[in-house]
Amino acid sequence: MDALAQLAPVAAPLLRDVDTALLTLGAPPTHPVWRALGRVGATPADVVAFVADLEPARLRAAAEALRAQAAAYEQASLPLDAPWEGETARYYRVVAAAAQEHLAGDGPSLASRLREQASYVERWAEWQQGLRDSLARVLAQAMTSSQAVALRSQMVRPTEVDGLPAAVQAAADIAVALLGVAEDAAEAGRDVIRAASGLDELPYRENLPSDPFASSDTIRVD
Amino acid sequence: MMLAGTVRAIHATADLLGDAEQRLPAVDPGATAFGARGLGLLGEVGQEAYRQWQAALNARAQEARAHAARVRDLADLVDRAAGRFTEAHHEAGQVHRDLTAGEPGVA
Repeated sequence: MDALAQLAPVAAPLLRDVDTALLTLGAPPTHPVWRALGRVGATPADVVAFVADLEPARLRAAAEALRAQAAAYEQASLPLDAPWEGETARYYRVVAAAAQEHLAGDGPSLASRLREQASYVERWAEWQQGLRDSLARVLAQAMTSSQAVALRSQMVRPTEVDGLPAAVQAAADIAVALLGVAEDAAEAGRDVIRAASGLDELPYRENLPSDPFASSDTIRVD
Repeated sequence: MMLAGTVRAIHATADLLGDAEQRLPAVDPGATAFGARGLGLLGEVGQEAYRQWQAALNARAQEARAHAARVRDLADLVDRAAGRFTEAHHEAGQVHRDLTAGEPGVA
């Protein structure tokens, strides 16, 4: 259980207060929370609930399965030598070598493509864990902040208007800090998408001699 | 390795690729695991990530399917070579029997 899994349930009342304050009391007109809300398109409570539900382990399991498949490709071996002689045997050797290279050769291969995709999904697992950790840090700071005290005080005594401006400011401050984590994470996520490579289908580069069965051949089996 | 052993080894690789094609879709952890069902900006990122992942997984399955077919063609090549050998062996045996039958001095 990571920090966010522990903090999210405890932080739920504060997050409810933040959302309620934003919804019912608004925020100072020039506060950056307005821009953040527009960009993120979700409230702080929604963001925390969403991130708390992410399970990087599911993505890591997918990476592991792909790597296991890559290892199976690498362990498979096509017989590269033909136990007979003649043109057909020479043709076989060329085709078998090309097929083996495509499967798990030193260059780009089906095995390397699987490993690249495993790395890709693992980058998403890391991205999710990074997002969870960052959000947990900001959430922990928010929970122990003076803004949290101001907001909670106002929410438990809603009829007292003296603390209202401070509560409005506090809710907006907490919200912008949490939404900022989401904005940064989204930018980092777009970087992962842009940097993705080696995921497209690997073309088979065929450079084979003509069909040996088109001509007569001498066959000798060892 | 004799021809039959070569064919068996090639078929084993083709089967491995065929199994991979069948199994790869099950590796998909689903859209939710990528956060593609989320609200707003983070949900959009999750959707893009999942689309990229899915396209890649489809490419892996297609690669496995296409290569399984190529490897099976390779097995077919060896089968045909074996067929030719059997035919040649049979003809050679017939010639030998004919020659033997036509030579009265041979016991």
